[in-house]
Amino acid sequence: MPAPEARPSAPLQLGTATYATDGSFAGLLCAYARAHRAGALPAEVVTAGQAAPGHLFGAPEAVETEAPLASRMEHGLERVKPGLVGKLFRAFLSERAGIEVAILQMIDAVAVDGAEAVGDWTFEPSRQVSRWAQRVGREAHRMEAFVRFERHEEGASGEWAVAEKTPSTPLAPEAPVSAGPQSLGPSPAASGGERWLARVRPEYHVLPVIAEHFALRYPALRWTILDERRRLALVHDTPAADLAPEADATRIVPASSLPDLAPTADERAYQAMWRAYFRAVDIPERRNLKLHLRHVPKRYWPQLTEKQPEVSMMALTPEADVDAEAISRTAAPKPRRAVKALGPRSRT
Amino acid sequence: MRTQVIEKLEILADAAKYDVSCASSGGERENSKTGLGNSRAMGICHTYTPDGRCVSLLKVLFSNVCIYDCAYCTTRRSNEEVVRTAFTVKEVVDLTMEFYKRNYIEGLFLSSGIFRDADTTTEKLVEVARSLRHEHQFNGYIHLKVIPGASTDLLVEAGRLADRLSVNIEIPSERSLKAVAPEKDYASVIRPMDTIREGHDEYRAERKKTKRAPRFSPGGQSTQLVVGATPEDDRTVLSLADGLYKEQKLRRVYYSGYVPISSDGRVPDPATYRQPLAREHRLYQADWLIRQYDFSLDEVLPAEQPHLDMKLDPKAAYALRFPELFPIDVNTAPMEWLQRVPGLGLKSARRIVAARRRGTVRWEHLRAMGVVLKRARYFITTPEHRPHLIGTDPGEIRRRIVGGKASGAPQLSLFGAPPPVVTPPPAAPARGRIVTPSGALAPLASAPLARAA
Repeated sequence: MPAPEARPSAPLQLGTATYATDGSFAGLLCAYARAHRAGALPAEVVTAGQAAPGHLFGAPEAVETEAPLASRMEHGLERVKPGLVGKLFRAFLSERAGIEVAILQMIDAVAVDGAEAVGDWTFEPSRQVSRWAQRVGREAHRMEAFVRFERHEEGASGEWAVAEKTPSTPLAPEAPVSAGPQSLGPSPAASGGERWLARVRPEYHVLPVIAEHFALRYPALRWTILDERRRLALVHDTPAADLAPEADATRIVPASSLPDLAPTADERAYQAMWRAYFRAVDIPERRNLKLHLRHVPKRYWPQLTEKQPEVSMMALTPEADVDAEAISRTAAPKPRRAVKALGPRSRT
Repeated sequence: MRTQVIEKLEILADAAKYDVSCASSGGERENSKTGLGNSRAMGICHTYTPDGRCVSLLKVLFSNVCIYDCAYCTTRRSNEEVVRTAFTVKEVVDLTMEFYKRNYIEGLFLSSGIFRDADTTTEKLVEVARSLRHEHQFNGYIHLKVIPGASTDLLVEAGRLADRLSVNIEIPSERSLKAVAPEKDYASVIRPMDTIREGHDEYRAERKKTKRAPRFSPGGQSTQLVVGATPEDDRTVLSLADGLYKEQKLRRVYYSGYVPISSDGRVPDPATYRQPLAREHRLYQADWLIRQYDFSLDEVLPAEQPHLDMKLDPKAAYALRFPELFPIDVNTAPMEWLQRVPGLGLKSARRIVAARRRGTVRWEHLRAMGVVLKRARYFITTPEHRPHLIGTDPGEIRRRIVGGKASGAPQLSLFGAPPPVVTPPPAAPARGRIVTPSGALAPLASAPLARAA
């Protein structure tokens, strides 16, 4: 906690101030420190430069983000209740109006009452934080389930792409399995052009939450998860081939910075096999679409390979001339709503 | 060539789909820096079938050639409608790797028809797991089906490679099993279960001493019981499951409602058979109470009662059999009792305990905590709420819970008379007693108060 020697004995009341932070979670933690000094919580927290015109209260007070202070606070909160910072962070990623103030109230309640304030659902801010953290967590879990990677080549016109176009036919019994261990390791050849791309449209900004899961699962693959709604991409590279030693292997970048990608020749075949599998495991006698829809709501269907219409079987023969563009058209989710440009608010 | 793999996939996935085990949980397996995949304690369902079952693993048979002739099984020897085929080891490995990289699956569930003998079959399954783990650094989930009669050496190697092993009992009594599966008996199923349990226990003990103890089926073992194919009642099914949890320390028993595959004469005729979907659901609920909520078998289903109540969840049925234990006060009852209230789950019980440390839990808080008030209202008290029905008329409570949104006609018509027109109760009784803002009790306050807990 920011000032343990001056531990407040009574909760802070809501004041009338508007705070403007840099839009980061660290910035919000610093806002609490400021409120603590001021003796009242702000009525509203906005992102500097993005303040909605005509908000009710006076000119926003700028809150400076001090990384050491934020990290001290995180430590303090974790000491009081392990897992609390993650919960506050997930609630923060819900991007709901007013969630910032609820988070500040919750931090304050923890400062006054300790860990017990966290699970207390009779306390409105605690309930709100829990509910939104839960929703963001659920969306993140769904992304861990519903992300569908497609094998792509970077810079489809480069010499690498040409070499990779040689069909590998890993499933033909007479051909050797080429997708063996050699393609997994960070060998310069494998990591030169192959990239696994998934497109998603999550309801909340979950990329920071799911980063670790995918980094642990696919450390030796180069992959990108593109959030089309927010125009942000979670990018993972294999250290040896792509990165300076000190750089982060997994990071979030604006979608505009991504290189050109084209699906590989065998991608369509594996997608067809997955769809065939999905059809085969159905038991029509037990069909229960209501239950199915509860588990797989329709809004995720555009990103799910198994929900896409079957493409021509012609593409399944290795010799077929694969129309890369046609594949990306089939595979790409069709946006049902216009992309809402939220701008790359830094949440990490 | 690929079309051929696709055809095999269709046939061998179709044949494996009646095995309902789907868990990809139960063991942590960490990845290496250059490997592929990991297993998390919490499993992930990557998609769901149109009938709402979770798909988390590539679940296929290695081969659907089988020397056995079990009446309930689609790949039985005598079924001539089935096209027989088999994967190669390489094909299964490649499908697993490629599906896993695309995030379609958590791993592989590999079973097989018994194509020559138990050892030859098991050897192929082990070969797939060996290739995935050693040649391809695959650290995702692997569930292997153990073939009854396989040698101990092979079982041990399977246990070292897999995250979970399972042997299916399938038929919930030995007499019925003999009738529908002449080549099988309980001993051949229990023996590999014993081997797995011993291997797993040994691994757990070693693991306490050193983190580097070689793994042995870290996710334990599971089995499946088919319900509806043979005449066993719910009590028989559940007491078998209860025994398996206690003696074999199984992680899960799956209940698979029998899907009629053909008219064999030994199993129900598809023309008249009805899917036991409700029964399957109630069995899972009862199983859950035994595994997670510390209910005993007798509490869930008394010995003199062979069948679960299909209209009522087993926890509510329990509460109505013991009306003298309710209502309980949410502000004072211990955790174990909160868990036993119909409409309260482990989560909402935890939330109540957390909230009451800081103050009084009131009626209006309960819904936000996730309590299903429709059921819980008859069994709990808060300062504002005293149910007046419990203890006086469990039958009336049952009627109200079961009736729900539907008219309740199916139950009422059991009595032969046309269902009486049910007029809505005069203001919902429980709700009527919420303290109004002024602090006065709402109209129904004069109704007789039930004994406090």
